[in-house]
Amino acid sequence: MKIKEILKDRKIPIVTIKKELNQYDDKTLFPVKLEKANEMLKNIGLPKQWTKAKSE
Amino acid sequence: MKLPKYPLSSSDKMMTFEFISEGNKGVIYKIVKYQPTNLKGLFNLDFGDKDMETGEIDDNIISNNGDIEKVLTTVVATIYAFTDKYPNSWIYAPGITNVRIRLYRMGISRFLTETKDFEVLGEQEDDWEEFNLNVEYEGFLVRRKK
Repeated sequence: MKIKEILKDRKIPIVTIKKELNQYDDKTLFPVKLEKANEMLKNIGLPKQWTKAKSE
Repeated sequence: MKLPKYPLSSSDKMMTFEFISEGNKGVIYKIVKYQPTNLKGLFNLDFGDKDMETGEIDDNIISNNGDIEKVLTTVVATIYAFTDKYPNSWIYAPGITNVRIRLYRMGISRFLTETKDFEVLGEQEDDWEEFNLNVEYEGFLVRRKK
């Protein structure tokens, strides 16, 4: 198998580290979506399907 | 995934990813961000276009660059990379607009047909259910299978 085909078949992508992107890690880039996520957690909570299995 | 995707870059912690969309409108820098929520281990996924002049990220813009499938496949690829680094994390993708909901659904359905490595739930009427391609969800929750 050629290297190109092996790379294409990989499930986990090859990721190049780019230091410039570190500046975004601690920033809230999408505050509206984050608020929606926190609102969902408050109102609906976590799925029973998953939390039940977790606590068993 | 065997589908074509763009090369990815990320921050050291793999909380922020970047790739370059190349289409009929030219080159567009895309940022994919995993934001920690109020619950430890649960991250909010969103992506948007980076304005190369101001450095600002816009997640409401509709690029229409003619490469939506490749863009979605690349976003899904970040889920692989992210959950490889943080295997116990859960990822929430809220669909704020109809366009974004449709995009996520397209991406997730494609993703599910390509791989069996993840579990996906859909948010509907204040509850969670197994993801169904034909249902309009308000958000999606994804985790890596053990």
